[in-house]
Amino acid sequence: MARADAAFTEFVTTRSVSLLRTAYLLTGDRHLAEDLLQTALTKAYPLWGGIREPRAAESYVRTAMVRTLISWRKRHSWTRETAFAAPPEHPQAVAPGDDIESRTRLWPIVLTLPPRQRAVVVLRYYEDLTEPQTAEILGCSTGAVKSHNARALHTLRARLGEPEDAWRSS
Amino acid sequence: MSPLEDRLRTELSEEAEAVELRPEYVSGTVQQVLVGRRQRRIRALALAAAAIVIIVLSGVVLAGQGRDDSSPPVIDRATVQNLRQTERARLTALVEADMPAVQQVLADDFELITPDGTPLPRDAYLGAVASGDLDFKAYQPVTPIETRVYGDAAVLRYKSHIDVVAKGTGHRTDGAWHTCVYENRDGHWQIVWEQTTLVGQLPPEH
Repeated sequence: MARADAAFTEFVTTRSVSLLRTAYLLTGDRHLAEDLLQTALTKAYPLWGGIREPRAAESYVRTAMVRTLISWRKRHSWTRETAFAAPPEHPQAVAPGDDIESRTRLWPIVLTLPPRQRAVVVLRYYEDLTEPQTAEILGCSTGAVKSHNARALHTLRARLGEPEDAWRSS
Repeated sequence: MSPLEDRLRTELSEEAEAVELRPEYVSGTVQQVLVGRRQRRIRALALAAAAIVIIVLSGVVLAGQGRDDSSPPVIDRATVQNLRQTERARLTALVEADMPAVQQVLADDFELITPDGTPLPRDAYLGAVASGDLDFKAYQPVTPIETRVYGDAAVLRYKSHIDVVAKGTGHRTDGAWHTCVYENRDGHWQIVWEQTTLVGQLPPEH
Protein backbone atom coordinates (compact mmCIF):
# COMPACT_ATOMS: atom_id res chain seq x y z
CA MET A 1 0.00 0.00 0.00
CA ALA A 2 2.90 2.36 0.79
CA ARG A 3 4.29 1.77 -2.71
CA ALA A 4 0.91 2.52 -4.27
CA ASP A 5 0.63 5.69 -2.18
CA ALA A 6 4.07 6.83 -3.30
CA ALA A 7 3.26 6.11 -6.95
CA PHE A 8 -0.04 7.93 -6.62
CA THR A 9 1.65 10.94 -5.01
CA GLU A 10 4.25 11.08 -7.76
CA PHE A 11 1.55 10.84 -10.41
CA VAL A 12 -0.46 13.69 -8.88
CA THR A 13 2.70 15.79 -8.53
CA THR A 14 3.84 15.33 -12.11
CA ARG A 15 0.58 15.10 -14.03
CA SER A 16 -1.79 17.49 -12.24
CA VAL A 17 -1.00 20.52 -14.39
CA SER A 18 -1.76 18.67 -17.59
CA LEU A 19 -4.90 17.04 -16.23
CA LEU A 20 -6.11 20.28 -14.64
CA ARG A 21 -5.84 22.03 -17.99
CA THR A 22 -7.98 19.36 -19.60
CA ALA A 23 -10.45 19.65 -16.72
CA TYR A 24 -10.59 23.41 -17.25
CA LEU A 25 -11.36 23.01 -20.94
CA LEU A 26 -14.10 20.51 -20.06
CA THR A 27 -15.71 22.69 -17.39
CA GLY A 28 -14.84 26.27 -18.32
CA ASP A 29 -14.37 27.05 -14.63
CA ARG A 30 -11.10 26.82 -12.71
CA HIS A 31 -12.60 25.93 -9.33
CA LEU A 32 -14.89 23.34 -10.87
CA ALA A 33 -11.89 21.97 -12.76
CA GLU A 34 -10.04 21.47 -9.47
CA ASP A 35 -13.06 19.66 -8.00
CA LEU A 36 -13.43 17.52 -11.11
CA LEU A 37 -9.79 16.42 -11.10
CA GLN A 38 -9.87 15.69 -7.38
CA THR A 39 -13.01 13.60 -7.81
CA ALA A 40 -11.44 11.66 -10.68
CA LEU A 41 -8.28 11.04 -8.66
CA THR A 42 -10.38 9.84 -5.73
CA LYS A 43 -12.14 7.38 -8.04
CA ALA A 44 -8.86 6.24 -9.57
CA TYR A 45 -6.92 5.78 -6.34
CA PRO A 46 -8.39 2.39 -5.27
CA LEU A 47 -7.12 0.91 -8.55
CA TRP A 48 -3.64 2.35 -8.20
CA GLY A 49 -2.01 -0.81 -6.94
CA GLY A 50 -3.11 -2.64 -10.09
CA ILE A 51 -2.04 0.00 -12.61
CA ARG A 52 1.38 -0.80 -13.96
CA GLU A 53 1.66 1.68 -16.81
CA PRO A 54 1.67 5.44 -15.99
CA ARG A 55 -0.01 6.17 -19.32
CA ALA A 56 -2.84 3.82 -18.40
CA ALA A 57 -3.27 5.68 -15.11
CA GLU A 58 -3.53 9.00 -16.91
CA SER A 59 -6.02 7.57 -19.36
CA TYR A 60 -8.09 6.20 -16.49
CA VAL A 61 -8.13 9.56 -14.70
CA ARG A 62 -9.04 11.37 -17.92
CA THR A 63 -11.89 8.94 -18.50
CA ALA A 64 -13.09 9.44 -14.93
CA MET A 65 -13.04 13.21 -15.42
CA VAL A 66 -15.12 13.13 -18.60
CA ARG A 67 -17.68 10.65 -17.29
CA THR A 68 -17.94 12.38 -13.91
CA LEU A 69 -18.56 15.72 -15.59
CA ILE A 70 -21.29 14.27 -17.79
CA SER A 71 -22.96 12.69 -14.75
CA TRP A 72 -22.77 16.03 -12.90
CA ARG A 73 -24.39 17.76 -15.84
CA LYS A 74 -27.17 15.17 -15.94
CA ARG A 75 -27.80 15.59 -12.22
CA HIS A 76 -27.85 19.37 -12.53
CA SER A 77 -29.34 19.75 -15.97
CA TRP A 78 -31.38 22.69 -14.75
CA THR A 79 -28.20 24.70 -14.14
CA ARG A 80 -27.59 24.78 -17.89
CA GLU A 81 -24.34 26.75 -17.84
CA THR A 82 -21.33 27.16 -15.62
CA ALA A 83 -20.54 30.57 -14.15
CA PHE A 84 -17.85 32.31 -16.16
CA ALA A 85 -15.44 34.98 -15.12
CA ALA A 86 -16.80 37.16 -17.90
CA PRO A 87 -19.83 36.84 -20.14
CA PRO A 88 -19.10 35.00 -23.38
CA GLU A 89 -18.31 37.23 -26.29
CA HIS A 90 -21.00 37.48 -28.91
CA PRO A 91 -19.38 36.69 -32.19
CA GLN A 92 -20.40 38.87 -35.06
CA ALA A 93 -21.16 37.67 -38.52
CA VAL A 94 -18.14 37.91 -40.73
CA ALA A 95 -18.31 39.44 -44.14
CA PRO A 96 -16.53 37.66 -46.97
CA GLY A 97 -12.87 38.64 -47.02
CA ASP A 98 -12.78 39.87 -43.44
CA ASP A 99 -10.01 38.73 -41.15
CA ILE A 100 -11.96 36.20 -39.09
CA GLU A 101 -9.01 35.49 -36.83
CA SER A 102 -8.90 39.02 -35.48
CA ARG A 103 -12.65 39.43 -34.90
CA THR A 104 -13.85 36.31 -33.14
CA ARG A 105 -12.66 33.69 -30.73
CA LEU A 106 -13.90 30.14 -30.66
CA TRP A 107 -13.42 29.45 -26.94
CA PRO A 108 -16.53 31.38 -25.77
CA ILE A 109 -18.59 29.39 -28.26
CA VAL A 110 -17.00 26.09 -27.22
CA LEU A 111 -18.18 26.86 -23.67
CA THR A 112 -21.79 26.87 -24.85
CA LEU A 113 -21.61 23.39 -26.43
CA PRO A 114 -23.43 20.51 -24.67
CA PRO A 115 -21.14 18.46 -22.39
CA ARG A 116 -20.59 15.51 -24.75
CA GLN A 117 -19.89 17.73 -27.74
CA ARG A 118 -17.50 19.84 -25.72
CA ALA A 119 -15.78 16.72 -24.40
CA VAL A 120 -15.31 15.44 -27.94
CA VAL A 121 -13.88 18.78 -29.07
CA VAL A 122 -11.45 18.88 -26.13
CA LEU A 123 -10.34 15.27 -26.54
CA ARG A 124 -9.97 15.48 -30.33
CA TYR A 125 -8.43 18.95 -30.72
CA TYR A 126 -6.62 19.52 -27.41
CA GLU A 127 -5.68 16.02 -26.31
CA ASP A 128 -5.19 15.02 -29.95
CA LEU A 129 -6.91 11.67 -29.42
CA THR A 130 -8.22 9.56 -32.27
CA GLU A 131 -11.92 8.91 -32.74
CA PRO A 132 -11.66 5.35 -31.28
CA GLN A 133 -9.72 6.66 -28.25
CA THR A 134 -12.31 9.40 -27.72
CA ALA A 135 -15.11 6.86 -28.04
CA GLU A 136 -13.49 4.65 -25.40
CA ILE A 137 -13.28 7.54 -22.92
CA LEU A 138 -16.87 8.60 -23.53
CA GLY A 139 -18.10 5.01 -23.50
CA CYS A 140 -19.81 5.34 -26.86
CA SER A 141 -19.31 4.25 -30.47
CA THR A 142 -16.91 5.85 -32.93
CA GLY A 143 -19.93 6.86 -34.96
CA ALA A 144 -21.33 8.75 -32.01
CA VAL A 145 -18.03 10.60 -31.62
CA LYS A 146 -18.14 11.60 -35.29
CA SER A 147 -21.70 12.76 -34.87
CA HIS A 148 -20.91 14.84 -31.75
CA ASN A 149 -17.89 16.33 -33.50
CA ALA A 150 -19.84 17.21 -36.63
CA ARG A 151 -22.59 18.85 -34.62
CA ALA A 152 -20.05 20.81 -32.57
CA LEU A 153 -18.29 22.08 -35.70
CA HIS A 154 -21.65 22.94 -37.26
CA THR A 155 -22.56 24.98 -34.17
CA LEU A 156 -19.23 26.77 -34.21
CA ARG A 157 -19.60 27.65 -37.88
CA ALA A 158 -23.17 28.79 -37.39
CA ARG A 159 -22.27 30.97 -34.40
CA LEU A 160 -19.44 32.50 -36.40
CA GLY A 161 -21.90 33.26 -39.17
CA GLU A 162 -19.88 31.28 -41.63
CA PRO A 163 -21.21 29.04 -44.41
CA GLU A 164 -20.16 25.41 -44.13
CA ASP A 165 -17.97 25.58 -47.23
CA ALA A 166 -15.93 28.52 -45.98
CA TRP A 167 -14.18 26.34 -43.41
CA ARG A 168 -13.49 23.32 -45.51
CA SER A 169 -9.92 22.72 -46.45
CA SER A 170 -9.19 23.30 -50.08
CA MET B 1 -8.01 19.18 -41.21
CA SER B 2 -10.07 22.33 -41.91
CA PRO B 3 -9.03 25.86 -40.91
CA LEU B 4 -11.71 25.76 -38.21
CA GLU B 5 -10.19 22.63 -36.71
CA ASP B 6 -6.73 24.22 -36.85
CA ARG B 7 -8.03 27.22 -34.98
CA LEU B 8 -9.69 24.98 -32.41
CA ARG B 9 -6.34 23.33 -31.70
CA THR B 10 -4.63 26.69 -31.32
CA GLU B 11 -7.26 28.34 -29.14
CA LEU B 12 -7.78 25.37 -26.85
CA SER B 13 -4.02 25.18 -26.28
CA GLU B 14 -3.87 28.90 -25.53
CA GLU B 15 -6.74 28.67 -23.04
CA ALA B 16 -5.25 25.60 -21.37
CA GLU B 17 -1.78 27.07 -21.03
CA ALA B 18 -3.19 30.02 -19.13
CA VAL B 19 -4.26 27.63 -16.36
CA GLU B 20 -1.71 27.29 -13.59
CA LEU B 21 -1.66 24.94 -10.65
CA ARG B 22 -2.10 26.45 -7.19
CA PRO B 23 0.97 25.45 -5.15
CA GLU B 24 -1.13 23.89 -2.42
CA TYR B 25 -3.39 21.95 -4.78
CA VAL B 26 -1.19 18.86 -5.17
CA SER B 27 -0.47 18.40 -1.46
CA GLY B 28 -4.12 19.10 -0.57
CA THR B 29 -5.41 16.65 -3.15
CA VAL B 30 -3.00 13.87 -2.17
CA GLN B 31 -3.85 14.34 1.48
CA GLN B 32 -7.58 14.43 0.82
CA VAL B 33 -7.54 11.28 -1.31
CA LEU B 34 -5.22 9.25 0.92
CA VAL B 35 -6.69 10.38 4.23
CA GLY B 36 -10.22 10.16 2.87
CA ARG B 37 -9.57 6.60 1.74
CA ARG B 38 -8.26 5.59 5.15
CA GLN B 39 -11.12 7.33 6.90
CA ARG B 40 -13.66 5.58 4.70
CA ARG B 41 -12.03 2.24 5.46
CA ILE B 42 -12.01 2.95 9.19
CA ARG B 43 -15.59 4.18 9.00
CA ALA B 44 -16.65 1.06 7.12
CA LEU B 45 -15.00 -1.13 9.76
CA ALA B 46 -16.60 0.91 12.53
CA LEU B 47 -19.99 0.65 10.86
CA ALA B 48 -19.58 -3.08 10.42
CA ALA B 49 -18.60 -3.45 14.08
CA ALA B 50 -21.50 -1.24 15.14
CA ALA B 51 -23.89 -3.27 13.02
CA ILE B 52 -22.69 -6.50 14.63
CA VAL B 53 -23.08 -5.00 18.10
CA ILE B 54 -26.55 -3.71 17.28
CA ILE B 55 -27.61 -7.08 15.90
CA VAL B 56 -26.28 -8.90 18.96
CA LEU B 57 -27.84 -6.41 21.39
CA SER B 58 -31.07 -6.49 19.45
CA GLY B 59 -31.24 -10.23 19.85
CA VAL B 60 -30.35 -10.27 23.53
CA VAL B 61 -31.81 -7.10 24.96
CA LEU B 62 -34.29 -5.73 22.48
CA ALA B 63 -35.93 -8.98 21.44
CA GLY B 64 -39.33 -8.33 20.00
CA GLN B 65 -38.72 -4.61 19.59
CA GLY B 66 -38.16 -2.71 16.33
CA ARG B 67 -34.69 -2.58 14.91
CA ASP B 68 -32.71 0.63 15.46
CA ASP B 69 -32.15 2.22 12.03
CA SER B 70 -30.41 5.32 13.29
CA SER B 71 -26.92 4.35 12.17
CA PRO B 72 -24.74 7.35 11.36
CA PRO B 73 -24.73 8.40 7.70
CA VAL B 74 -21.69 7.82 5.57
CA ILE B 75 -20.34 11.07 4.14
CA ASP B 76 -18.79 10.61 0.76
CA ARG B 77 -17.09 12.79 -1.78
CA ALA B 78 -20.11 12.63 -4.05
CA THR B 79 -22.20 14.43 -1.44
CA VAL B 80 -19.60 17.15 -1.07
CA GLN B 81 -19.32 17.56 -4.84
CA ASN B 82 -23.09 17.64 -5.14
CA LEU B 83 -23.29 20.45 -2.58
CA ARG B 84 -20.53 22.49 -4.22
CA GLN B 85 -22.19 22.09 -7.59
CA THR B 86 -25.54 23.10 -6.16
CA GLU B 87 -24.06 26.24 -4.60
CA ARG B 88 -22.26 27.23 -7.79
CA ALA B 89 -25.44 26.64 -9.76
CA ARG B 90 -27.32 28.88 -7.32
CA LEU B 91 -24.89 31.73 -7.92
CA THR B 92 -25.17 31.26 -11.69
CA ALA B 93 -28.96 31.26 -11.46
CA LEU B 94 -28.87 34.50 -9.46
CA VAL B 95 -26.69 36.20 -12.09
CA GLU B 96 -29.01 35.00 -14.84
CA ALA B 97 -32.09 35.84 -12.75
CA ASP B 98 -33.23 32.31 -13.59
CA MET B 99 -36.07 32.34 -11.08
CA PRO B 100 -37.23 28.70 -11.43
CA ALA B 101 -33.67 27.57 -10.74
CA VAL B 102 -33.29 29.92 -7.77
CA GLN B 103 -36.65 28.86 -6.33
CA GLN B 104 -35.69 25.21 -6.65
CA VAL B 105 -32.61 25.57 -4.49
CA LEU B 106 -34.00 27.99 -1.88
CA ALA B 107 -35.81 26.24 0.97
CA ASP B 108 -39.27 27.54 1.88
CA ASP B 109 -37.88 28.96 5.12
CA PHE B 110 -34.73 30.40 3.53
CA GLU B 111 -33.36 33.53 5.11
CA LEU B 112 -30.35 35.64 4.16
CA ILE B 113 -28.60 37.82 6.70
CA THR B 114 -27.24 40.66 4.57
CA PRO B 115 -23.86 42.31 5.21
CA ASP B 116 -25.54 45.14 7.14
CA GLY B 117 -27.32 42.67 9.42
CA THR B 118 -30.77 42.74 7.85
CA PRO B 119 -32.66 39.43 7.70
CA LEU B 120 -34.05 38.96 4.19
CA PRO B 121 -36.70 36.21 3.91
CA ARG B 122 -37.13 34.03 0.84
CA ASP B 123 -40.03 35.91 -0.78
CA ALA B 124 -38.35 39.29 -0.36
CA TYR B 125 -35.11 37.93 -1.77
CA LEU B 126 -36.81 36.30 -4.75
CA GLY B 127 -38.89 39.42 -5.37
CA ALA B 128 -35.82 41.66 -5.37
CA VAL B 129 -33.97 39.45 -7.84
CA ALA B 130 -37.01 38.94 -10.10
CA SER B 131 -37.79 42.67 -10.23
CA GLY B 132 -34.19 43.64 -10.88
CA ASP B 133 -33.96 45.61 -7.61
CA LEU B 134 -31.13 43.22 -6.80
CA ASP B 135 -29.21 42.74 -10.04
CA PHE B 136 -26.19 40.44 -9.76
CA LYS B 137 -23.77 41.23 -12.61
CA ALA B 138 -21.25 38.66 -11.36
CA TYR B 139 -21.27 36.30 -8.40
CA GLN B 140 -18.72 33.54 -8.15
CA PRO B 141 -16.51 31.79 -5.59
CA VAL B 142 -12.87 32.85 -5.55
CA THR B 143 -11.82 30.24 -2.99
CA PRO B 144 -12.63 26.54 -2.82
CA ILE B 145 -16.02 25.93 -1.24
CA GLU B 146 -15.24 24.40 2.16
CA THR B 147 -17.92 21.85 2.92
CA ARG B 148 -18.86 19.98 6.08
CA VAL B 149 -21.67 17.47 6.06
CA TYR B 150 -23.61 16.44 9.15
CA GLY B 151 -26.13 13.86 8.02
CA ASP B 152 -28.94 15.68 6.24
CA ALA B 153 -27.42 19.09 7.00
CA ALA B 154 -24.29 20.72 5.65
CA VAL B 155 -22.33 23.92 6.08
CA LEU B 156 -20.57 25.58 3.14
CA ARG B 157 -18.12 28.43 3.47
CA TYR B 158 -16.24 30.36 0.79
CA LYS B 159 -15.15 33.78 -0.34
CA SER B 160 -16.80 35.27 -3.39
CA HIS B 161 -16.52 38.13 -5.82
CA ILE B 162 -19.82 39.99 -6.09
CA ASP B 163 -20.68 42.66 -8.62
CA VAL B 164 -24.20 43.82 -7.85
CA VAL B 165 -26.50 46.75 -8.52
CA ALA B 166 -28.94 47.15 -5.62
CA LYS B 167 -31.84 49.59 -5.68
CA GLY B 168 -31.14 52.32 -3.15
CA THR B 169 -27.52 51.29 -2.66
CA GLY B 170 -26.10 51.53 -6.13
CA HIS B 171 -23.39 49.58 -7.89
CA ARG B 172 -20.99 47.68 -5.66
CA THR B 173 -18.11 45.39 -6.34
CA ASP B 174 -16.99 43.53 -3.26
CA GLY B 175 -15.33 40.48 -1.93
CA ALA B 176 -17.47 38.69 0.61
CA TRP B 177 -17.41 35.64 2.85
CA HIS B 178 -20.44 33.40 2.85
CA THR B 179 -21.54 30.77 5.33
CA CYS B 180 -24.45 28.72 4.02
CA VAL B 181 -26.49 26.06 5.77
CA TYR B 182 -28.00 23.44 3.48
CA GLU B 183 -30.49 20.72 4.35
CA ASN B 184 -31.32 17.60 2.38
CA ARG B 185 -35.09 17.72 1.92
CA ASP B 186 -36.82 14.95 0.02
CA GLY B 187 -33.53 13.98 -1.59
CA HIS B 188 -32.63 17.52 -2.71
CA TRP B 189 -30.13 19.83 -1.06
CA GLN B 190 -31.67 23.23 -0.38
CA ILE B 191 -30.14 26.30 1.21
CA VAL B 192 -31.86 27.31 4.45
CA TRP B 193 -29.65 30.05 5.90
CA GLU B 194 -27.01 32.29 4.39
CA GLN B 195 -24.79 34.77 6.22
CA THR B 196 -22.73 37.23 4.18
CA THR B 197 -19.84 39.36 5.43
CA LEU B 198 -18.21 41.93 3.17
CA VAL B 199 -14.44 41.90 3.11
CA GLY B 200 -12.83 45.03 4.50
CA GLN B 201 -16.11 46.68 5.49
CA LEU B 202 -16.86 47.98 8.95
CA PRO B 203 -20.33 47.57 10.43
CA PRO B 204 -22.65 50.47 9.60
CA GLU B 205 -22.69 53.37 12.08
CA HIS B 206 -25.83 53.89 14.13
